Amino acid sequence: MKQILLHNWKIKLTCLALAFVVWYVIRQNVDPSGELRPFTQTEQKRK
Amino acid sequence: MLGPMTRAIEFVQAHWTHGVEVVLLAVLLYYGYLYFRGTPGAKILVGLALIFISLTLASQLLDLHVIGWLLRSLTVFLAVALVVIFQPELRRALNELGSQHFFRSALQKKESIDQLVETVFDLARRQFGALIAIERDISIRQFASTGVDLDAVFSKELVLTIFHPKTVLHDGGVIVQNDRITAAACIFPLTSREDLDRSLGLRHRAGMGITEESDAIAILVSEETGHVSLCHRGIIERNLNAEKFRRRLNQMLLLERYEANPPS
Repeated sequence: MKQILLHNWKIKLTCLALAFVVWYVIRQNVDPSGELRPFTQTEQKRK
Repeated sequence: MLGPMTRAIEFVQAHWTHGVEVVLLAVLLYYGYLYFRGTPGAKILVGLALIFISLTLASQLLDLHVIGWLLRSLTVFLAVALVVIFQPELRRALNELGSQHFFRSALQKKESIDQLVETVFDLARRQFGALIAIERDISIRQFASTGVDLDAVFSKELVLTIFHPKTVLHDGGVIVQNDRITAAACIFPLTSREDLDRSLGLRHRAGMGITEESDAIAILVSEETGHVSLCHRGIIERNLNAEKFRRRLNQMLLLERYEANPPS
C-alpha cells in the first residue's frame, strides 16, 4: 500500500491538487440540484 | 476534549462525499496523464488545461463575468475539439480497456517474465545483439514511430528472428507493450552521460537513454560478448546471469520494490 502511494508521488500530489481545483470550480458553478447556475454568485447577490 | 472530536466527526460525516469526488477526479487525472504523457497531443492537452483552469479560476476569484460566460459557452466546443485532437489515443485507450491485458494477473506476468528470460538468454547464447524496451506506466509509443510497426504477440521465435544479424529489423530496439511487440528497429535517444565506460556501445547508450526519459525497462544483449544487461531509470546493471536477471525483472514488474532498493 505504501509503495503504491509513494510511486510517482509528485505526480499524484499534483493530480490531487488539480482535482481539488477542478472540483471547486465545478462546485461554484453547479447548484446542489445538479443544475448549472445561470449567474455568478456576485450577480445573484446584486439581484 | 470531546468538543473538537465531535466537530471533526460531524465534519467528516457532512463532507465525506466531497472527499470521494476529489479522490475520484484525482485518479482520473492521474491515469489520464500517464496515458497521454508520451503522445504527440500531450503538450496541447497540458496547454489547454492550464489556460482553461487559470482563466476559470481568474473569472471566479475576480468576478470576470464576460470571461466566465465565454468559458461556459466554449466548453462544449472544447470537448468536441478534444475528442477530435485525441481521436487516435481515445480509440487505443478504449481498445486496451476492452482487452485482457488490463486485467492481467501476477501469475500471467510471471509466465511472461519466464518467457522473456528464456528468450534473452537464448539471444545471449547465440551472441545476437539485442535491445528490448518494456513499457511501464509512462508511454514510449513516440519512439515506435521511428521504427517498423509490428503489433505481434511476444514469442521467442519472433524475437530471435528480429535480432538475427542478417535481418533488416535487427538494428535498433524493440518495444514491448503488454506482452505484444508493438514495433522493431526503433531509434531510442542516446544517454548524454560522459562518465560511462568507453566499452559501452551505442546500443547500451540507447538503452540507458530510453530509461532516462521514461520508466521503461531496457534489456540489452551484447553482440561481442553475449552479456546481458538491464537498464532502469538510467542505471545499468551489467553481466547478469539468468537467476539474477529473473530476480531483477520480478522486482521491477511484479513487486515494484526496485524504486526502494535500486542497485548500487
